[in-house]
Amino acid sequence: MDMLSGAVSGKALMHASALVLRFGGLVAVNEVSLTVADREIVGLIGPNGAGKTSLFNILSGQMRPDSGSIRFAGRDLTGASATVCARAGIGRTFQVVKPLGSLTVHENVTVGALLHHPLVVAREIAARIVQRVGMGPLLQRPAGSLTLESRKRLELARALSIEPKILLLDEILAGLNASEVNESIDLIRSFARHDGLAVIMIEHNLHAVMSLADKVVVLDYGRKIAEGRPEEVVRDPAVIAAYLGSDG
Amino acid sequence: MSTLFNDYYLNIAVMTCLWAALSGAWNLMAGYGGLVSLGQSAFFGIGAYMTAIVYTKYGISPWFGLVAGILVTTGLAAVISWPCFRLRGAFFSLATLVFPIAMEIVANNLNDYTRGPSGIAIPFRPGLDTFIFRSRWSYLVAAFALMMLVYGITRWIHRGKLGLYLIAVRDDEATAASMGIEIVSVKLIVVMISAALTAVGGFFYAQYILFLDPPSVFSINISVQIALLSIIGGLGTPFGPIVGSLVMTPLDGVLSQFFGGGPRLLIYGVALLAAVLLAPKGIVGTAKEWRRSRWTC
Repeated sequence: MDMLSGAVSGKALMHASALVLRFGGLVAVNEVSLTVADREIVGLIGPNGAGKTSLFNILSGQMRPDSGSIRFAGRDLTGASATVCARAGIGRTFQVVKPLGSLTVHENVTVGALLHHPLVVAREIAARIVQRVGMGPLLQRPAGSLTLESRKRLELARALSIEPKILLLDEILAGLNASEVNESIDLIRSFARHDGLAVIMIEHNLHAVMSLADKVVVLDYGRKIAEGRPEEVVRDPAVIAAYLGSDG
Repeated sequence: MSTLFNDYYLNIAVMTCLWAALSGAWNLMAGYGGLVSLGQSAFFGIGAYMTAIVYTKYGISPWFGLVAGILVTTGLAAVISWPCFRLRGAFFSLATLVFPIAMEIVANNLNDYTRGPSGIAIPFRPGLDTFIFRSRWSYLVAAFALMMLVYGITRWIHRGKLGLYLIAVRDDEATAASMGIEIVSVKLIVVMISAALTAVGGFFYAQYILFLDPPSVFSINISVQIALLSIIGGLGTPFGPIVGSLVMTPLDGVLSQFFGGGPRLLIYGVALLAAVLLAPKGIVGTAKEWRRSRWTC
């Protein structure tokens, strides 16, 4: 069944197999398998309601899958809590941004850096991360007072702060203008090339996905309908049908 | 006459410090961790009763009662809070309301130890070993020290890892978990610190008032008062509970001297409303905001 995955070289960092998540009668994620190699950037696309965020929620421990398994960095993380997943090295952003509103930008990121460092060091690391995502001037601003764009960046900074091995980015480019998108593309690329992180990104911006992703996975109605190199996937009739509707 | 006069105002000063300490202990879990408990009087009463029982029934120094009270309340806080952590917001508050009510029933019926509704009178034997003093000044020094202890611990937590973790958990649990925070452990730690400090307050109360009965220490009013002082002074700030108590405890004392009964509660209620309306983030919180807006504009 799973002949498509494992196409990219490098050893598997994350391997999810046959994940299923049901909400009552609705199957949000249906037998989805996914392999991510070290330093690989995977684009996760699909129409609204395809189960992309649900898949993220399973992979990051926010939700328990009804069946299937997740291996990450040599460990079995099936059904592990969000805390355990974060400690194992899975960093994520939330599509519906969730800043710690009463803390400053600096403190938000410091909270994550505290996972591996004492406070003094964590504060320094956090300041550097904030700088890196381009929020330097906002360092001391209360997170609750940020614009949506800044909140998205803060999500990214927070996900980085726990020094993850893999980043799950949930539509962090949505709402950005063209030049901001290009900046973010460079930034995401540097996470993989420079920091050696693996990335799974849910993204509607196809330009970003095409230029960044080593591999694209397409979900529709909770099922994986295509997987492969970006230029192959966009030509896949099943993908075109899912996005544009099949001309029956 | 002058000593009576003095004693009256000294008593208000002592109670101001004690209430500030109790409210400060609550502020740690409610103000920082978002755990708005209405069960603090359970820990207060257990601390007081452990002290009184150990001293009057077994004749052992109340200092041992203090240690026992701290151990029992800390353990109990962990055990009873655990199931409540599954509840959020008002549901958590309502669940915690059960504990002082339950403890009051226990104290009323555990006659062999608590002497039930008739209460325990603690014999007046002054000395450091009994923590009973002739002068209220000594109590004032002790109460002030307790208040400053709570303040110091709060400051320390406020500036440290635990404070950040608590605020993270309060602001958004999903985000906190996604950053690797063990949410239940963080909550447990703060609840245990809070309960231990509240038990120390109970110890002080027992050796100061020298009389305990179930309603005087387990009453829901105590839990509510503890919460109100922090809310008025400023939730989630180290200084808030002290400010709240400095404003409200003397006001309550003066009002009960001049009015008593109904009019006192009426004026107290109006003062409370005014505080909440004029300073919704508490006196300290609102002052901070006001200062910030003046500086940035």
